[in-house]
Formats: sequence, C-alpha cells, structure tokens
Amino acid sequence: MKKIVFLVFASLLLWAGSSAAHRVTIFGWIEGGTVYTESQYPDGKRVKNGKILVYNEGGKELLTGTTSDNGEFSFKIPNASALRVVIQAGMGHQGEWTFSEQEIRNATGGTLNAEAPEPAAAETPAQPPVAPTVAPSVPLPQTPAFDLGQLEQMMERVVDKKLQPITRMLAQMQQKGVTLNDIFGGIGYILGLAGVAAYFLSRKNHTKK
Amino acid sequence: MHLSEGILSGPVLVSGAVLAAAGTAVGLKHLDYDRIAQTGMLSAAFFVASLIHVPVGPSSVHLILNGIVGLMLGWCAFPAILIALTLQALFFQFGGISTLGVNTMIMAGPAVACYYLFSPVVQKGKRMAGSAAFACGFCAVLFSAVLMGVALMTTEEKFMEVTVLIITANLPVMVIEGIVTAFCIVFLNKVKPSLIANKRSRS
Repeated sequence: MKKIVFLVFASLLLWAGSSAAHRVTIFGWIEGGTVYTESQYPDGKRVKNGKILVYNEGGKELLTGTTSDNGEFSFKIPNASALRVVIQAGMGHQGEWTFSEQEIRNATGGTLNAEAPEPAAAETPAQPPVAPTVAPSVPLPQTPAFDLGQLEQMMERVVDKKLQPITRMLAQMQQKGVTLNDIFGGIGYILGLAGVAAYFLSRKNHTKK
Repeated sequence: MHLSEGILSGPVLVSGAVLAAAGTAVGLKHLDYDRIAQTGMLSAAFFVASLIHVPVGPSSVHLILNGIVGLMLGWCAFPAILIALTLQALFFQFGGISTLGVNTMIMAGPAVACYYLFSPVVQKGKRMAGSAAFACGFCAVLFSAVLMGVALMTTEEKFMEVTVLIITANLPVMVIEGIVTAFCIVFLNKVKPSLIANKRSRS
C-alpha cells in the first residue's frame, strides 16, 4: 500500500509538467552535420523530458536521449544512412521524423564527420571575393589550395545559417494544431453518417410495414 | 487516452480490433431508428470533447466524455465512439488508424460497463441520479486508464507502474468528467428524461 502511495506521489511530481494531449509531433532538420529536433504537443506545449530514440535504416538503435525544457534535442549525425528519429512522450504518445539517406549525405557533404568544415571556416575570411560560378571552370591563379570541396562546404554553412530562421518557421507551421475546418468537417461527417443510417433504417421500416 | 501508432505489438492491435468489431456489431444491432439521432449527436460530442482542454495546474487535460456517451447510448456507444475516433485520427492525427480498434476498446468498453453499472441507479430516482452520474463519468475514465495500462503492458515496463502513472495523470479528467456528466444527467432528467438510455422502454 505504501509503495502505491509513493508511486502515486512520484508520478504526480513526474507528470505535473506534462500535458495530457494525445499527439506528439517532432520536426527535424540538419545543420552542418548535426541533427536538430523539436517536439511538441498540438497545443504548442513543448515535450519536456521526452525520450528520443534514433534508429538507422535497418531499425538498429543508434542513440537515445531526452528532450530539453524547450522540447529540443540535437545530435551529431552518426553515419551516412537514413535516420528515423522517434519521440516517446510516455503514456502511448509517440511521433517520428525520418531523414532519407540522400538528405544525410547532402548535409554531410560526402564526408561523414562534421570535423571537415572547420578548416574551411577558418579560411573563409581570407577569401571573401571569390565568385562561386567561376570556380569550376577557371582555375584561380592565386589560390591553388582553395579547392572545390571546401568551397562547397563553406557555401553550405552559409546557406544553412541563412535558412535557419526559415527552417524554424517551417517547424512551427508543421506542428500547427487543430483547425476549425477539421472540427466542423468532422462534425459534418458524423451528422451525415447519422443521416445515412437513418435513411436506410427508415427504408427497412417501410418495407416491413 | 489515444494510443499512437507504432507503439503496440501486433497481437494487441489485432485483439483490440477484434473486440472492438464485436462490440460495434452488438452496438449496431441495438441501433434502431429512434436512437440514430441521439447516437450521432453524442458521437459528435465525443469527437469535439477531446479538443476541449482544461487547464489543471501547470498542465492541461482534455475531456473524453465516454461516461456520458455510455450512459445515454448503452451498446450504441461502440459505433458512436468508433466513428468519432476514426474522424479524430483522420482530421487531428490523434491516435491512429492501426490503433483504432484498441482505442475504441479503451474508451467504449468502459462506457458500456458504466452503462450497466450506473444506468439502473440513474433511472431509479432523481435524488441519486446526480451522484450516480458523477460516479459514472469518473469510473469510465478510470476504467479507460486501466485498460490503457493493460494495452501498454506488453510494450512498456511494468503494468502496475504504468497504470498508476496513467491514472494519476488522468485524475483531474475523472473529476471534471464526473461533474460534467452529473450536470448533464440532472439537466436531462429535468428537461427530457426519455433521452437517457432505457432498456425497457426501447424493446
């Protein structure tokens, strides 16, 4: 009995901050070799202390973690395969987000580890006026060390940075809650179904009489 | 109360679906011409109730209303809840299509159980009706929580812990549902007593 009372108390504490909504959504995006995720309930509340599980293509568990107070969780891309990120918010609530292998490969720029972009970043201030379009055809005379791969990585970093607010906005839009259309659509369906049922039953009654 | 997809194992999903199908079949047998409008209305109420979030302390909970649906519909609660859950899964992504059977069992099963437990008391006297309706709304959610624990037993750790967790999380819902159910029944008893499911008058 004491154990149960303790359990009740402990779970009350545990669940005090959680929302008893019935859907969790997770949105994920990649920035320079790191996967960022954001999880929330339909009413906009973030999933605190939700369990994150990351699986590869074959369903093998790669890593686990818990979400922060803002429902965020990020991790370095472990290897270049498709990823499935699952959020478990307890009590049967689960959501997932998948990255295709192509997405992962694009994001890591062919290299698996995120360490590679670092030297490129260090070089960037030295070569600001390079026009990207000339790079492939015309060999730049003064920078033989500045190869195409590094340029590509640098550009990717810049684009990632610029796109960051947009990705966030997309994340928020993706997780839009229930709209009025949904509600009235559903009610309409139910009333319609009741009407259909009434119609068929009334016909049955007629033929009986 | 809605179990998401990809959590439960195959056998649980299948047995939930089979039980829900059986319950729905019985419900459709009970569904006669006079009860269609009522079933539709309560199905719509159930459909919308999940959207009503009640802030309790730092968290918010939502209504389920399976107690009152059961009390007023009896076995017809099965088709009513099945349809509402299907539409919730399609429109709101609450629960899921594969877990439809299990979710229907979790919510409609207690509704029917509470119908048998409390309907005789509610119909007996006006004095008792209010408190019986409160108990009905309370117990329906409680039973649902227990059933949910049973469904999760196969995938999550221990039955006792999970169930206690679900029950505590839904404790505010139970109280609110009890109050809502009691108000509805007392009101209907005054205004239109014939609406409350009555086995004898129907047959």
